Amino acid sequence: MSHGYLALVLHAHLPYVRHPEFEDFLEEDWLYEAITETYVPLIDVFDGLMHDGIDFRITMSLTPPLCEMLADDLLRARYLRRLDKLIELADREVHRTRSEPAFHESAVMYLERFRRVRHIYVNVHGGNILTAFKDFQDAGKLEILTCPATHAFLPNLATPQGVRAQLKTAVANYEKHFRRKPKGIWLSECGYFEGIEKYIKEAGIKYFFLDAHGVLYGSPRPKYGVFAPVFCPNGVAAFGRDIESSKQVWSSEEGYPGDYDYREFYRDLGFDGHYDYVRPYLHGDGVRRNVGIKYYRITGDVTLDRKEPYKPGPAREKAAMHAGNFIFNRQHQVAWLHHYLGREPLVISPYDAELYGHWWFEGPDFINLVLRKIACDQDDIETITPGEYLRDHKVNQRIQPAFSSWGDKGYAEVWLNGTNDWVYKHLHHAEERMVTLARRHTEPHAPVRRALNQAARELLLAQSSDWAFIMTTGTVVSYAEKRTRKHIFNFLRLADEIEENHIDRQWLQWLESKNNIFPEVDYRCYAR
Amino acid sequence: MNRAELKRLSRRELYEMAKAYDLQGRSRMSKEDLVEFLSRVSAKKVMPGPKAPKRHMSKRRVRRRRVEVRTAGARASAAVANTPSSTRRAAAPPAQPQVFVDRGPELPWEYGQDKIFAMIRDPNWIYAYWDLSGGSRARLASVHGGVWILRVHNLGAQYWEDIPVLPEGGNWYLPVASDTEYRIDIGMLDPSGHFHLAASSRPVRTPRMGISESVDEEWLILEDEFRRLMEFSDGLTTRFSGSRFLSEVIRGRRRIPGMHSVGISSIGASRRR
Repeated sequence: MSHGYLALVLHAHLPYVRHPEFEDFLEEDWLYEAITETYVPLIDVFDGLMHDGIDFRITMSLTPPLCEMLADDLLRARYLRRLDKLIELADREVHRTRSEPAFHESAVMYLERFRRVRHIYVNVHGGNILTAFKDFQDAGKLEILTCPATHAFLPNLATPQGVRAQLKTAVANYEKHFRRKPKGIWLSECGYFEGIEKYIKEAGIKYFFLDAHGVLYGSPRPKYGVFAPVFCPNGVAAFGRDIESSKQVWSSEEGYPGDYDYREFYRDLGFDGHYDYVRPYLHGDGVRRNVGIKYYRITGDVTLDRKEPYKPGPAREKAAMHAGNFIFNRQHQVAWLHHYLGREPLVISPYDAELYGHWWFEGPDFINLVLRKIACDQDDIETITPGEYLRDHKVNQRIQPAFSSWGDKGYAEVWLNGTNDWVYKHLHHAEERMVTLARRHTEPHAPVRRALNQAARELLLAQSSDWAFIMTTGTVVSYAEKRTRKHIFNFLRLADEIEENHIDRQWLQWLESKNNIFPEVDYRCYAR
Repeated sequence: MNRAELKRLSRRELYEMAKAYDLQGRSRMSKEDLVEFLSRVSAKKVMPGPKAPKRHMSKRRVRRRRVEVRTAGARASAAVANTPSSTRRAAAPPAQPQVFVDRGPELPWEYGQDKIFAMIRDPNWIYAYWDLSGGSRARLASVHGGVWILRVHNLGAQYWEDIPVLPEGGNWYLPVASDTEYRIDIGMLDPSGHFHLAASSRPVRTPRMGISESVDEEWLILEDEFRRLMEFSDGLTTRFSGSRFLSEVIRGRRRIPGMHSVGISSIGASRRR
């Protein structure tokens, strides 16, 4: 007899990075690492639960750019090559560490792990991660949310048509991959402005998510805080994030991933290994980078050179302990809330998917144990998906949520500050021009239609919030700037050619093959 | 400060003052340009633009790409000159770019339109950018003694405030009140007080910052009950944001990629237990 519900939400997103013009491209690594370290391990966890007959519910957002990359043949081929190289390296490591028992155990673990990833990826799921997730959804265990088409930060768009286009393109892409309509959407960065629910409803989507203050500062005051969904005035539902459960995992002071027994991210073989030995596994430029084999644990508040060897056994035990602790805290949280609110609370716990596996190596084990313990060891809380909760709780308060995001400081600053504000002049101009072109060309001939669709693609790609984000955090800024400028430049040239009715077909063809996201895109989504 | 006083300052001092007003492109401005700008700004100090948050890791992960050296000459100056909001009169070439960083193709500085666009940054800041190349700058150049201003209309309270700007500056961060509707006009104010409008922004409403006053009787929760609920959520006192979480985790383990692990201390490593 449960007192309340827990909805774990994993947000999986990567910007669309695909460079067929280069044999080897650094930023494509983001995808390959995520597959090896996060997506396949999670699939393994879900497979295991299904096999053992354990009932569970979990929610994931798979953004359209990520879906497109996971389905892309070039990237899939490149991934497998990468994985095979990694297995080769892991094999050599097992031999190299034969005489070093402290590291040998980990080396063996990595080889087994990577081989297992390959087996799951190739043999069990035919190299198709999307179908794996789709199967879990069809089995009723996983709910897959969509996300705006290129993860644009919607409050920073200029026109209603621009917002509609991001949503409509996302819905069409979701239907292509998952053969059904999406019920829920994870707004990019939970970026919400008052009135966005109108476009969400037009797109046929039933609910979305907000950071806590989007609900808590809503009007009128939400009686159940973030612990129940609210309806916007037009009937679309909104779920607010629970801070407490987020903090347990994310916080560097109190969160689990910082535990001293867990694997240290920053001692990687790519940096520690003998140069000539690791060179074949680095990129073409020979710069030392992470390869994904790490032998040390966090150990304590120590410098990197004082880290001690990783021990898989104790780490696994810690994960089990933390899973138990997480559930214990949820039980108490839910019991208190149930009593205080007089209604079964729903705790929404969203995280970036990459936290589990990539940043926090033991993360997927943690999720596995949490789901198993919830199912088998207690009765106070149940996992649920937001869609199911809405289905079972049809009466909810109506409020107008407040402008908000889950970015640093809670509003738009991360995507609008001195490092990146310059982009909007260009993005907005392109957006407004796209609307004009879409309205003017109702029955275009083939080359013009293709150009219009490609212009839509270039605009959507330029609008990715990732570029502005990268400019703020200052990591690969030149790459982000280049992507923004290139896509705008391509758009402007296409727009000019369309207006002059003089399409450079060769250039168009090249663009279509290179920036090939959303083959099904329809420029008319900008017309209304 | 008036022009005479400003002219007596060194370029360095003028630069620091311009920094306080977050004048974009200040590093490329000559001393004359800085004097010109500073003589026009209002006495009220504008809060400097936000610094990038301290995190050094993207959500994806750190990649310090080796800067690529190219030999295509002209691209170098284009890449630098295209830094956002730089004044058209791009002054001396940059100090010492030894390597060329490819930042992509050059984009137009202006789009031949008269436009001002307002965006919400948070409850207390609106960002506005403008383009006056559609003819208004030319048209209003003949207004004698005129000063370019932003006229910030508080639509609820029905008053406005004028802020002098440089038309080629192109953008500005405006301090505003929360939960208020604004419209921003740009134009020229002539000495007789007449405002020549160049462009008007769409209206925007800043978000509420705090709990709403309004309560639904059917879903009644008293204010102190609500605050208790919020404290329990622990959310808004600590302002724990979603995508900042990752930086909290990583900050304790930051290291500079590309450097050998031994001997480098992890910066700010802090972990209990």
